[in-house]
Amino acid sequence: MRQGSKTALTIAVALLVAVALPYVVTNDYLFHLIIMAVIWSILATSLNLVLGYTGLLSLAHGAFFGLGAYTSALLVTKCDWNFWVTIPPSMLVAAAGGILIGVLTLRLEGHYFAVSTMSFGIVVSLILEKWDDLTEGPRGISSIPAPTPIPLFGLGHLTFESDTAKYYLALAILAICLLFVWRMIHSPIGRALEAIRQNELLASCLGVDLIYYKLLAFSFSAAMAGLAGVIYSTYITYLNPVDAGLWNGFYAVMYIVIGGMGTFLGPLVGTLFLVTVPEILRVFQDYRLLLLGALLILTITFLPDGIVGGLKRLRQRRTVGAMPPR
Amino acid sequence: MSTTGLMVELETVTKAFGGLRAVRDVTFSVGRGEIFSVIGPNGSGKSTLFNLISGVLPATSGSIRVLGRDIRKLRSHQVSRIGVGRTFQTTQVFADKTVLENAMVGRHLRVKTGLWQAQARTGFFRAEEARHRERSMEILDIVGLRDHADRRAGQVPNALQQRVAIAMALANEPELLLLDEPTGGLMEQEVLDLMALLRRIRDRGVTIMLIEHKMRLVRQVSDRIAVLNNGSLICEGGPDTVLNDERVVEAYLGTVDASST
Repeated sequence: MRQGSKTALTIAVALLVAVALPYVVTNDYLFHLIIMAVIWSILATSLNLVLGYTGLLSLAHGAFFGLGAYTSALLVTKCDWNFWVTIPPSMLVAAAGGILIGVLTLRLEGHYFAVSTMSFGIVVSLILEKWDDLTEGPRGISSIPAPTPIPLFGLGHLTFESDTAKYYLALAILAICLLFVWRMIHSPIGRALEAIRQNELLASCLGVDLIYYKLLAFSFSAAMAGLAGVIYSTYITYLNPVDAGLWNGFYAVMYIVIGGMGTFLGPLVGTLFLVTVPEILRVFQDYRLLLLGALLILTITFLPDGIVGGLKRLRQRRTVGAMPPR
Repeated sequence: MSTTGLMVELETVTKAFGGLRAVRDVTFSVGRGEIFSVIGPNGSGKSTLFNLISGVLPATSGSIRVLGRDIRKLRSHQVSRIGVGRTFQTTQVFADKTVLENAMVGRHLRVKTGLWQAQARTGFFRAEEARHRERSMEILDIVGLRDHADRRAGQVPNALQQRVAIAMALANEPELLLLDEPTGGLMEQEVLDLMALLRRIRDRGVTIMLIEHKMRLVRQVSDRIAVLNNGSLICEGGPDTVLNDERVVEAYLGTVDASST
């Protein structure tokens, strides 16, 4: 019970800080970074489901992100769809991509799987670049509108033109995704996924259908990555094939590794760290990237299970040390 | 359900790895409620045989029926669904998870709620989770791990880790339990405790197949014994017959060289 109320208090404080943030941060650029951090957190959280919990190194998440972003942007700009209505098909397209690549490659192990997903990512960004009639090729899609206003039944409209409103939208989506992952992990399905990560042979002898559960995690993760892309497209208002390229996927892997693989908050901590630190390092001008590289190497060397993993271990050691002598 | 009442029926089963035939033309069957031991020198194909019966490896030829079902084309998770649980020679547990969580993973096949019920946290979902927790505790009770439920499986002593593995295999409530050298690294008293545990499990209606090297345990606990040597079945029967058989003694101790006399 004490543990439960402590968790509730932490969540309440975090929410309060997150909600108050637009009123505290007055610098436009900093606020932009914060919004991007929230969007990348959604992507990293989706990847955590497969990389952190199921143990599958997917490098296709940049592609799923791009598939979601493009689907929504095309439906809004070319078909005049209501933004909110584009969300389910965008997630479905990303999930379909996930199922397709999953069916083809989930039987492969380790590196082979990672390389196959990377190839899929390359194929997706190439298609987006070459299919000029549909996607406008390298010119990209511009003037993507803000989300459609929501009527409030005679009380005017809820609009999403301002950055503050888009920030709250991204924040709400992140919260929903976190809740989804939390409930999935704390269920028999999550136990099966973690069993797969730790020991496939043992898991399968306990009755876990490896392919089915990997595909389940992969498709939901892809859909969530697509959702992150949808929010990105409406915030950034301009898409080009680079947005669906490999880099976003690589960055997401990095956020998770730095934050803590397979920890619930790792993706958030890692994203915040890697989005803010390069800005702080700006004072070192030309040496910025050099220092960032050194910082990353140090983090991985001394905190192999990431920042959150390291904190966890520290706390465990403290509790063990605080135990009364027998 | 088997019509013959046989839990395992092997008929001329062979497993070849390239040119090496690890299991050769093995034929025997295991009846319901038996404790059936498989013994033999190292490398005689015992673990391979277990891998065939549990669907981890496909047989090269021959027929394998488990609880009356032909399992040649089934993979391990499908075989477990028929009612087979197993442990491994090198004890395998989920080290980061608590002992109770290990048992809960083991109840995978008994789970009836899906993703959406988990997302909505329906009353049914909560009730089922509570029931799994309760059943898992009962199983920890059976194997004597109740007091260790909240410890990480990787941190309990070696002797108890094998019991975690057994608890996991039992949690699915199988009808057939395959135990690959459960006494590895155990002390004298711990072996005796394990023997008592095996009998308790059998008395609950679970058929047990056992790979074992400790002959005293094999003699005392087995209803029947099969002896493998170089992949072939050289002898099968009750403990007294088998353990006094010339061929068995020979397989373990080597041939008495006739020319030296």
